[in-house]
Amino acid sequence: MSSHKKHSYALVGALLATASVAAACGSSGAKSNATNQSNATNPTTAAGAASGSATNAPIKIGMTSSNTGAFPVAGIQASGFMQRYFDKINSQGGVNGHQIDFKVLDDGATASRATANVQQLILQDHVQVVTSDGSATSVAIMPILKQNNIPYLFPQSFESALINPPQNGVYALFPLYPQQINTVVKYAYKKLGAGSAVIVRDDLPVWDSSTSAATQEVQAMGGKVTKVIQSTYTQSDWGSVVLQIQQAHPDYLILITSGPAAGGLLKAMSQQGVKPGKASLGIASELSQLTVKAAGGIPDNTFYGALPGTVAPGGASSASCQQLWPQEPMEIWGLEGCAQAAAIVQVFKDLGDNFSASAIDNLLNNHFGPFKTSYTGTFQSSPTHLLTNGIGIGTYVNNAVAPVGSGVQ
Amino acid sequence: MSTFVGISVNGLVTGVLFALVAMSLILLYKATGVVNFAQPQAGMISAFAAYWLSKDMPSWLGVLCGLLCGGGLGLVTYLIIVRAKPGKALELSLRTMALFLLTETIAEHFWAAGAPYNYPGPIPQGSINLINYRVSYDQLVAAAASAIVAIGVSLLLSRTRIGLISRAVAADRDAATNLGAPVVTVDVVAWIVAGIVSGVVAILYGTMQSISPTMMDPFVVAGFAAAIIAGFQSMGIAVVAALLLGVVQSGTGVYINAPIWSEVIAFGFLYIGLMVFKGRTALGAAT
Repeated sequence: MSSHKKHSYALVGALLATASVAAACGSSGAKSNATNQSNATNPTTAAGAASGSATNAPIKIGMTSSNTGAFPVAGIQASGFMQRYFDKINSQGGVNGHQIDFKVLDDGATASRATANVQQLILQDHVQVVTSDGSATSVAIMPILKQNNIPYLFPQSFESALINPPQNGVYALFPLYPQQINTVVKYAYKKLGAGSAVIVRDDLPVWDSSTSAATQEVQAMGGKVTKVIQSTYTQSDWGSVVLQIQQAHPDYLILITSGPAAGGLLKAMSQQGVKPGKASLGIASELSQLTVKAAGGIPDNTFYGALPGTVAPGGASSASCQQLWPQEPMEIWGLEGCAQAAAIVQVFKDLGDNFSASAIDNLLNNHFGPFKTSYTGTFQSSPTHLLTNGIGIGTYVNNAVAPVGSGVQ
Repeated sequence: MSTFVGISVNGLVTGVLFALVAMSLILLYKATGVVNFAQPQAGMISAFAAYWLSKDMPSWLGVLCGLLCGGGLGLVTYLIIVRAKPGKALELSLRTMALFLLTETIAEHFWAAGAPYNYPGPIPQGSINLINYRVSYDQLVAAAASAIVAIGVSLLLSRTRIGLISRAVAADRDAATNLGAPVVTVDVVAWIVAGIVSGVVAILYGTMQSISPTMMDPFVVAGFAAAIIAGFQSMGIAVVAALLLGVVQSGTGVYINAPIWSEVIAFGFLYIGLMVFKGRTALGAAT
């Protein structure tokens, strides 16, 4: 072989290595906590922006959202339905006479871009509060928000680290993943009896707390987790996972991953004729038509823990949200977007003209609610900084979601 | 025993798809000297075409159109990468990497929101039992298609006039051109066939799993690893390497239970291919 070809091989290898490293950096960005936070931010400027509330001045809300990247539909629907909710409020005269100025920046599901977005929202756009979509990114932006004293309201995230421990300036609206999985485990074990369980979880660190919570809840209910199987969002080979489930032969299969990934596994299990003895249990992110599409059909005895409104998609609560964006078939993330927006609007209604961070803390810690929305159930101020605690249990009947119960954590 | 059989069969099914990717890469490289990094993306677009078209026409016709789309994309890639501004093979390969990134970004922009797309395809559902492991009909078709493509490409290269010319072009492109060989025809055929083969992989994988803009990502490293181990020359070695990689990945999935190791193993194969096996090919022993 000529030296030219040898050099070609070397360059091909270098190119592949470069591309792989670039891809790895992109994905690991989402996994890592943002370690290079915001040295360039200016607390004085940011704090000044947060406290200003001149007569009829707009309410400035910023959002970093994963509208592209590994799982874009969640971000597109979350930010899209929020935008339309705020548009509707603005068309009705705004909140106490203030129009809502809502700015969304795409972070591509990477922590570094989410952090850069928040810097821009604080320093250039002078937002008064920030919200977000995406579990991994939602935690990564917390330090920069704290540093700049910008309230972080109701991210579309179920990550425990948001409010564990509770801290001023950060408030979660939705029941967290560990609470979702605990509730559905408790429901299934009460209904179908104790038994062994296998957990299939995505290997992102964001799922660690949910895996621990599920393991503990299974034990508390008299069962035992016999195996925890690692998978990925982009798993190409579900056969090896199915083989492990087949070996373990569990009564319960607990799925802690994304909707498409859960659907891919259910499809592979169906192909191999493998199913748990009693039930499959999952979390809100799997309660989606994406799961149904990927699975080609949801097996019987599959239960999910999720927001109350999301387990009754045919009900009035979801209908009013869907009407905001009729062209977009609403998934759970759209409904959660409506819930986020409704809660934020309620906060500013209660604040009057004082949008300062301290006023928001005082309100949400002590005097908020109780309110009942069609999206979330009841929410109110709470020392845990989690404003709702109702969780619905849903299942699929003919591939359509149906509510079967509820729980409170 | 049944677990071992399951691992082996599951790995072989994945491996045949890796093998198809590797063969399409080798075909193009042998004929034109270009390493086409964007090739898997042509397959992804073919799968989307088959998916969309199958909504309005018989499923098998949708597949056929999808494959034609793959061939067409191969031709278009040739026209915009090679013909628009001819260059050295290495330069052309670099351009395909840019095309890979561009294609995936555009596809994500337009199609990611609804992904994954469930694509049943024309293959009926069902399976056969192979020592307590069910092999689905689409997996069987994938294995058969791999064998057919491997034989077809080998025959194309060894038994046809175009294959003879392509080998001459691969040996010394300038000399072949000066001797009046239809180099452009060889290029066009190679790009089209490689595009079609990529389409076969993506459509088969789409029926087995689902379709999405990033569906071919797992095949990029694995396909390149197998092709490099084969020195971008030997289809047979590429197939064996791809099957082995599939089985090893399947086995580590079960016994090590850490998805990251599947990637590590693929990179390990790639490294071995680059550092060890290319020497054999350089001496011509493996061709």
